[in-house]
Amino acid sequence: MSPIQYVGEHLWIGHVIHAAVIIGFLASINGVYAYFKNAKTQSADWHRYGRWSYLIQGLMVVTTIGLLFYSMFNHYYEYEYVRHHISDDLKLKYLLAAFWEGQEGSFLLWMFWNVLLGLALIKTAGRWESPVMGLLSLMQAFLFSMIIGLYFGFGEHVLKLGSSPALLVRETFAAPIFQNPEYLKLIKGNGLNPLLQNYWMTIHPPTLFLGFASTIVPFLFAFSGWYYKDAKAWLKPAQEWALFSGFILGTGILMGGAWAYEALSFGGYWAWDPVENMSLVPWIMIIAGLHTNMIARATGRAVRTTYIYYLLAFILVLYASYMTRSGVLGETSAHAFTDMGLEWQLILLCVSFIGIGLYKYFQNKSMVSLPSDEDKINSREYWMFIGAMILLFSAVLITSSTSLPVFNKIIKLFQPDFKGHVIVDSISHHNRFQLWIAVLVCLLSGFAETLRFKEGHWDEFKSRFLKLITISVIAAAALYAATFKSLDSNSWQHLLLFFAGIFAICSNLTYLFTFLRGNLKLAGSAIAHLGFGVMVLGILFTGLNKKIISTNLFAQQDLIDGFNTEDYMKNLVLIKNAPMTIKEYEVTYNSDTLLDPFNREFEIRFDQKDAEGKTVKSFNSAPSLVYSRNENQSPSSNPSVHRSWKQDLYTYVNWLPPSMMNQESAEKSEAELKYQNYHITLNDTFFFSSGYGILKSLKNTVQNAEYEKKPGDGILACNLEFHQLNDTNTYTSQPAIISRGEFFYSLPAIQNDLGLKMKINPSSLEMYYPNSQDGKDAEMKVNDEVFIDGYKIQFTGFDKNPSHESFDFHPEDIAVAATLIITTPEGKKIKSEPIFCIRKNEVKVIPAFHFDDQIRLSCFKIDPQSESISIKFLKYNSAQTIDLDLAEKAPRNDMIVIQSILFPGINLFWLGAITMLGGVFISGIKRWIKF
Amino acid sequence: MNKFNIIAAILLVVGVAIFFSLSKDVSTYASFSEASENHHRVKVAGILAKDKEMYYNPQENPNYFSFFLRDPKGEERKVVLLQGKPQDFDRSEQVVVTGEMKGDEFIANEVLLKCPSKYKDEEIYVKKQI
Repeated sequence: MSPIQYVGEHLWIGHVIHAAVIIGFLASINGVYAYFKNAKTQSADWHRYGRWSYLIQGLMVVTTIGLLFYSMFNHYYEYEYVRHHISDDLKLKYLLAAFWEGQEGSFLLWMFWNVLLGLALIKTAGRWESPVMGLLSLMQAFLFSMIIGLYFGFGEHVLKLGSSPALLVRETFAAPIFQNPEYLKLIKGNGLNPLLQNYWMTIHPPTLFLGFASTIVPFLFAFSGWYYKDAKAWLKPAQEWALFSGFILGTGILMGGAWAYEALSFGGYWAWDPVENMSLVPWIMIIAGLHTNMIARATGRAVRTTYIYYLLAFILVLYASYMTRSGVLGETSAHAFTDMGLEWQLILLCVSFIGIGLYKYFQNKSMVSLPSDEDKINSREYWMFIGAMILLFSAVLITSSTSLPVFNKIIKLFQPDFKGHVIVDSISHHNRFQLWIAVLVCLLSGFAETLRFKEGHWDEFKSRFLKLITISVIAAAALYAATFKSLDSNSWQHLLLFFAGIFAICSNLTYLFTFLRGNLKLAGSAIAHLGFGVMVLGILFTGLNKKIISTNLFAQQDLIDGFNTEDYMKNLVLIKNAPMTIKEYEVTYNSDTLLDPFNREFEIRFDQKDAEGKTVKSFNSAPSLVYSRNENQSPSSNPSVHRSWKQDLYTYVNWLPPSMMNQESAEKSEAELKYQNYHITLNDTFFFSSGYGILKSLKNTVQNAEYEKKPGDGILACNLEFHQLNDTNTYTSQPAIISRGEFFYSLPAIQNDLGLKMKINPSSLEMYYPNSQDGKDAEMKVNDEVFIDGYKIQFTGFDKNPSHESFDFHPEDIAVAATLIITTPEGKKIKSEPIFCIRKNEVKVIPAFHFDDQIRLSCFKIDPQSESISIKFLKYNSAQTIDLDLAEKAPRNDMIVIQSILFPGINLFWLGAITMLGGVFISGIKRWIKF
Repeated sequence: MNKFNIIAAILLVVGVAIFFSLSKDVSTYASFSEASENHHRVKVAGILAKDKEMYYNPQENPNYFSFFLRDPKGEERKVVLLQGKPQDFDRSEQVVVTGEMKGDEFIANEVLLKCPSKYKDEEIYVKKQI
């Protein structure tokens, strides 16, 4: 069989990407060799060779990214990566988010940052350049290997090296569709996961990945220091880069929290999900390393610790990649990547760098001379070191718990029937331990800041130190006494942390204003610690004072013992236009609008009432749903946050009727209905099990948001009135049916109050819109009169600018309406204007319907020469009846379930976190740009 | 840094203590019969029984959703989730619930769904022929 010649593929892109990745991989390995050769020999040739290698691999990274991006921009669906992440209707602003949605794209993002970091290092690293760039080249080689996409066969085993972003769809799937050479015309893109269609997804991943990528740099300098056996000089650039990394990675994590808060509906910014944890621990280690780095520069102590901490920070980034990309997290994480068979490569990456880092460390660790004197307990470095140890401890705890799936996997290797452990409530588990870390960090940072490095004049300094601490403690105690009642918790641990947070704020403020006298240049650390204290308070308030206000007052209170009421009081049912009172709010679900085919926005009004029931404040909340391109998938719910300085009110739609959910549920729900057919006549009454209905009128117009008028549509709609026994109310419904060409579209109506769903049976249409071939023809000139079936028809002239309520005229149309007057046998005069239209050599006949009189008139030919027209007249006779399909016990379609949560103090959290990172930023700026 | 060795030792002891106290936080994935024996909060991972009834009537109670789950031993039990019906529930296959047995029912207040479709779409969508 000869291979199929596929049509329309752009195979050159794939070939270039493959070549670029292989060249990049080889160039990186060259770079490693050349740079380390140069580190040994200090030869200008090797140096140049190393730089060129790095530049070439950088060029290859950019080429790969550019081409992948190009094929995504142009929707080249023959490529699996494009098909998987892009769809025709994806907005351009989400193209970047789609680019790094997948593993390959995020590896490329990482490599891209490495390229830029490498260029910056080539320019600034000076004498450290060779070992720094050599090791960075090695990292790049590893990353290239992740996307190289090579397969090696060993007998029956196939070893996969990397997963290429340029894989074709037909190489990924074996499907009959690929027998068709023109398959490309048939496939469409999968599109971006609706959860990721959020502006944060444009900036959060690149920031986070720059943070991840940059954690290697402090380690690179530590490694170089060891490489050249220089225990001191590397500390300066390492600290500068650690500040950079700490700031960027922290910002990236915080952005992720903001995204989770705004786009995910778990109701918070942090959930101790493994993916979150594993991005946090490298940051903690960078911060720990930063502290020991400062000690080392100030006192010459803790040099080795700094090396280990920076190594650990970087290794944790690699370990995090292994955890999130290898599939090992399985069912414990809500948002890890899926397995792509890269596990062994990721393990190799971790092991290699652990090996290199430790080997170098032990080889040269004796070069660091330990200071002979004892640590002074009243010195700053002493407590800073303890602080850094506590950070390490925190990172170890988080990493160990998060690694449970990894431990399980290892045990399973030896014990295949091992069942595996899992943490039952990971949020309370982590909170319980990290609370103590936060307490210690707050207290330590509070007073250690006030101490001095290498304390040599303690006797003179002591009184000043005590004074500052006393002021801080008194201020903190006063503030605590004034505010602790606002915290919704009596647990002493929470209150202790609350005090510790306040103490951190007070002591760092005291330090800022008395010691530094507001000198912002030196204030970086004080501001960072101050921010941490504020953040702790924010975490306490949002966590403990968080109130779910969407409680349903009528829910069964005594449902199950052992579960607190909060467990089953989270959801509130809202029925359109029926206000509900929850806490101090009156909540009304006003409307829902389909903004575009993939976006439904709800308008929920909150009226805040005072004690007398007067409205003090009103606002709208607009949670929305983003539908997936896959119409069988449920939409994702986007919360809406109403912000105020004191608290946020966070609302999202938790459940919606099956008809809005997805195709599958809608069909399933429809299939459960039992329709009964009623043949009903105008103004007659018909009975069903719980009441009776009356057909009030028939019309040929319809108002329905789902219906878009098209030319030639025939509409049959009716007004129905319903009554219930023992109920004086009148309920109405307006079902309709549309005939369009050979098809018909039903616009069913739901009478939610009575649980009725009704559709006009298509058989009714035939009575009102008889086959268009029927009727009697006549040829007429202007002012002619004809009689057909007792109707007088006068042709009075042409209307050259016709208008029609449902016909959409195009500019190129040549359309004319014939104006005719019909006189019925009873003497009623009807003006009729059938339209004759030519669009690109195609004739469109748009008949005029006179619904009340059951007349249809069309003009199907115009002879411009003789100015005559050919008409077709039809008088159709039928009783004023319709066939109605009516189902009882239909589910409501105007009901949603919402969850509404009050987050007090959330702004304290953001303010604290931003202040903390601001402190890091100020320290960084001070180091980077001397001012 | 001698004093730090002491502190490191203390932290190590605390760490070990924490490690052993973990047993309270940690459990294995239980089967329903194990869950009815120990009456603790456990996680049960199972396969959604799609042929059995899933019940959610928000008008009656928006915080009550019940379905049937088959655990790895093949035992099928009714699970009452004290939440609204999660979106995309019908499409999910593997379901992990956290809670405890009460009588014949497993009462859960946490659920994690693994939808085959959410992160990997093994289908190629074919354009609709209009």
